[in-house]
Amino acid sequence: MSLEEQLKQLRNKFLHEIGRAKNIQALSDLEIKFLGRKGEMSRILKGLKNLSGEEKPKIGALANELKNQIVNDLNKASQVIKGEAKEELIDLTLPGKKVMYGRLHPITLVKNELADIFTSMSFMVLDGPEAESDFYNFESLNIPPYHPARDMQDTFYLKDGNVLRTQTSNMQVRAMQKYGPPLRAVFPGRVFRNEATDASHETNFFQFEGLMIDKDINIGNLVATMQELISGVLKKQVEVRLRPGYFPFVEPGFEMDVECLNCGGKGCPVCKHSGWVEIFGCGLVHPNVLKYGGIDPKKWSGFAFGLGLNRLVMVKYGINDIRLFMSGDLRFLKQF
Amino acid sequence: MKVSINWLKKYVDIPNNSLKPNELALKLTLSTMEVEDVIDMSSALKGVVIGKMVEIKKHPNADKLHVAKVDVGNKMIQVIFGQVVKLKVGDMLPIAVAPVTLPTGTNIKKAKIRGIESEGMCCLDSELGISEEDKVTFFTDKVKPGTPVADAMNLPRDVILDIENKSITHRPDLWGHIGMAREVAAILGKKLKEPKLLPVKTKKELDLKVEIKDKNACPRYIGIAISGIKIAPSPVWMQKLLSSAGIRPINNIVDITNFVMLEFGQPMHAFDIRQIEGGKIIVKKAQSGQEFITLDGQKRQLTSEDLLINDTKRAVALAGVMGGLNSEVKDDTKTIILESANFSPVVIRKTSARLNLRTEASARFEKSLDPNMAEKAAVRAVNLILEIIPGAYVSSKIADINYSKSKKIKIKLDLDFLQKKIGEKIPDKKVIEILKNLEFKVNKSKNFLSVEVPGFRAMRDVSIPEDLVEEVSRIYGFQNIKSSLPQIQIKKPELDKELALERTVKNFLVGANFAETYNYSFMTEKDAKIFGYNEKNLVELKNYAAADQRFLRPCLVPGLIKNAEHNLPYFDEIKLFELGRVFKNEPGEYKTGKGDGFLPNQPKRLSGIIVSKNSKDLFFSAKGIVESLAQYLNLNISFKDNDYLWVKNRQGLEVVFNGKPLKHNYVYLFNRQVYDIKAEAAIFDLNFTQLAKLPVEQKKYSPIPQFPEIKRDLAVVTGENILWADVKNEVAAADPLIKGIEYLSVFSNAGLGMNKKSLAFSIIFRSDKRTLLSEEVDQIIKKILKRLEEKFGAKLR
Repeated sequence: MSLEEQLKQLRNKFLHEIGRAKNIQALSDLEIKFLGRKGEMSRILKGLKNLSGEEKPKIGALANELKNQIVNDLNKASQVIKGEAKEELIDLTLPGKKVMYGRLHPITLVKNELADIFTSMSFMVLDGPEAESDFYNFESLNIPPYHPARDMQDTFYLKDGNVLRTQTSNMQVRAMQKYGPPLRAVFPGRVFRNEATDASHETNFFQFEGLMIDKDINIGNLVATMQELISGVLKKQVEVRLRPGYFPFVEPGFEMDVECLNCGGKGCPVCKHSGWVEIFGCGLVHPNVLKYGGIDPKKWSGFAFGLGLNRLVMVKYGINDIRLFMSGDLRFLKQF
Repeated sequence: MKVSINWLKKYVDIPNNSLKPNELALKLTLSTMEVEDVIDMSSALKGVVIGKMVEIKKHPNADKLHVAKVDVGNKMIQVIFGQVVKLKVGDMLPIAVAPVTLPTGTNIKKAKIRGIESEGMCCLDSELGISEEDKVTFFTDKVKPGTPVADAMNLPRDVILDIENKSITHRPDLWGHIGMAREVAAILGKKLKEPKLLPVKTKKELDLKVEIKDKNACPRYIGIAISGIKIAPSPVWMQKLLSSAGIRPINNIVDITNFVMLEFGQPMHAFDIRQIEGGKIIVKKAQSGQEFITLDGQKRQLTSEDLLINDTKRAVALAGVMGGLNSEVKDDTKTIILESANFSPVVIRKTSARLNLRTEASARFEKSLDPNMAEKAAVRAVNLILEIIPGAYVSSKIADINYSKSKKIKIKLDLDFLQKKIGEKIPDKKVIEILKNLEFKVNKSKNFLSVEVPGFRAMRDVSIPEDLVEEVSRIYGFQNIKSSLPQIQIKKPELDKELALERTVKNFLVGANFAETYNYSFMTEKDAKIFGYNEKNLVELKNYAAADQRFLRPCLVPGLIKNAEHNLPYFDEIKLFELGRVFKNEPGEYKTGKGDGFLPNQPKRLSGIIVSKNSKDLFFSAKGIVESLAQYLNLNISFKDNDYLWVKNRQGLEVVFNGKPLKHNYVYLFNRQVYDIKAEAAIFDLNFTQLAKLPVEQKKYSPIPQFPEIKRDLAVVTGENILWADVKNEVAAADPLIKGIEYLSVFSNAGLGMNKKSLAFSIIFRSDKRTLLSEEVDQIIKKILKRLEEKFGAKLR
């Protein structure tokens, strides 16, 4: 090791040890250890005589500088210990410099998560009109005029005879017509219901619909895909259960419940003491709907599902009032 | 719909001990429909007994209160009561013995009232939840003190399943207890015991005629005259079951028609024959504008789409919806005409929807009933009337006009198809058993089942093999089906460019400290006026519920302004954006591509608002966002003058991307004379739909400069009307070694002279071939200053 390196090492060693010196005695011990006649500095400088004439002054200067630093440090330390000098006090508990950043709406966050899950399973993500024809919102979904199922959704009608879509299912036949089979697509979007608002009902809310058309799609496939979806969003394995649900555009049709995350399925007000929260409607695509989409139901089959994004977001973050989503309140929006 | 478990037990064995009502409810939820609630009626009034007033004294410390000693059977308690109802010694009435919770939610505890202890409460009917009236039901001495009030009042000891009606929209058969019992039987693997129907013996005393003038609206009508009627209360067992199912008992005839409706799901009606002119029933459409007073006393305006039951002179019932006030059964009715009919679901639904008159009958008819059910129900009702009213007899022939075509649906079910749809093999034996329990007739040949659908499932409900897949799988149990992810061919999903850009843009704005918001798609009438919209250009709703839902929003900005206003009390600076659709009263996409009209044009906008209580130059903050966004998206951006209502002090520009002006891209300072939000606000409002269609050029790398640059700051004094953009262009054109010009500041003061301003900027010089010399740059600066002086009269400051 060169002398220069040795000096550097000495410096580091000194800094390390002075950091631990708690009293004056320790400081004077350090002074003797490093600068005394038989101290470490002297020991290193014994090597000077072996150096060339050019190097000698350079190392000498370096040693001098180091010696001064050590003396200086020892003085400062002794002053601090004696209480004579104030060390520059920095309050490290002060907050860091604030970085300002915005927020995505929680609906967007979860919508993106879902879209990513389905993109990874090679589903397209598609968008569609919110002011929609009766045909795509109802008729092509096997809900003819005056069908009682129209009662299931309180519809906003426009003066021109169109409707505000009551469900993202309006995209099913649109997607079938545009892309044909096989087809894998999801449709997130805003939907509308003409009903009185309260903590769990809104006129404007968001759904996430999915459609898969292929050969030999079965109920087991549907259940497995839905399980992927739920565990993907909630980031853990949760219990789900399937029960019959009536939607005219699927046959058979199901409601899918997830175990209540609020109470872990024991029963609480959130789940109306049932232990389950209803999140999805789903089922195998009704052959009539396939026909409307120009797809031969003898050759192709498929499943569809639709979930209320608001409900899912509420379960995920523990939000208790659906109206917050449309409130534009930054005290809400900045929490995500 | 409320389903009584006691009632179900008439038709199916439900084991009392091994299957609790909650478990039955769960089984039904998992296999048939959603049971929303399980209500135990017997526990509802537990702790309320009949008490006898033994002694009544005035409360020593309160004028209006009394202290009573009450015998509640096993003990004597002290109860304090007020003066809502006068009570005297010897009265027998319902007493809540503390501690107890009443059905209304009131907690009764032992408590001192003005110093005297009260150990219970005298109960009004309203407090027991058995009626709305503030009166006391008194009992006679026949009832022993201490008798539970539920027994004394004959309240049903029953458990009620409250069914979510939406979940049985497609199942008219489930709107009666027999249908429900059939499901229970199939789920439990038990036998269904339908009530025995006895043949009806008729006398021909009366000549009852039925005529149907509109067979589409009324495919079948059965009328039967029954004489020897004595109106009286119906038997207690029937009253109890009706009460359980939420129907108020009225009298034997009305109760029997309701009972049969709740049994078979077939609504019925009874007329007093004295009110039926000419002894003839005529079913026909109403005259447009005809008025009719329904049983509830309401006068209804009818149209030619409504169906009426008439006699030879006038209308007597609004078919399938509600009877008429003029023909209802009275206390002295001796002969009735019993109606059991089948009406078109569409006709009933239209009428009930238009009149906003939803009844038990209309709810059932609109779901499409089996015409054969009308006959079954008629026979059942006659059987019950004859059984319950001694002396009653059928006094006419059964007038049955039947235009319905009996519809036999046979489905060929391929067992491979079944397996393919379910994803696993359910043993054939099990499949057949399930279908038979649901009353499908099944024949197996080779790998096929020939399945005949029972009439009560054949109207709309079951018609294709897929429907049978559901029947089999739900009774088999969805939880028993193994799940497996679908096997698919890998294919790269097509990317929706607009949605992809949405994410990019949103992420950019979040990085720029904007919070995303979603506002309602509506615009209020008031806002339409405030923000200066012509109603003709707005998309209007037909059935909006509140005035704030009359129009669809034509722009995102008013919503953002309102958001900012809402947040101002809590924040000094607000940055919000929304990306969403706006709606214009002009043709957008085709409705269906079949030439049947258009949807409203509904482009997406990207709009943002910056509001600050402190900072100035908000316009430039908004402009900066747009400029940076363009750079981020690799779009060329420029601006054009623009000025309109919402722009304050001409601080507004139209944004031009890639040199081509597109409709509706603005950045501006908001004019608070339009709507005052108590702080300065800057807006950017971009036509996202068009933005997303712009061709985006791939970003290209340009080599990092090899030679150092020289940067010089320059400040010149010019006339205040000289624009930065012009100065910049002039500088840029001075020499090819100029590689960049950056704005620094502008200011004006008295020292500069009248109408003068100082404009400061940096210029970057660089050569790609060599290191520039300072002297070279000095020369160029001179050249620049000369040009600026010649062009703008600018001088070095």
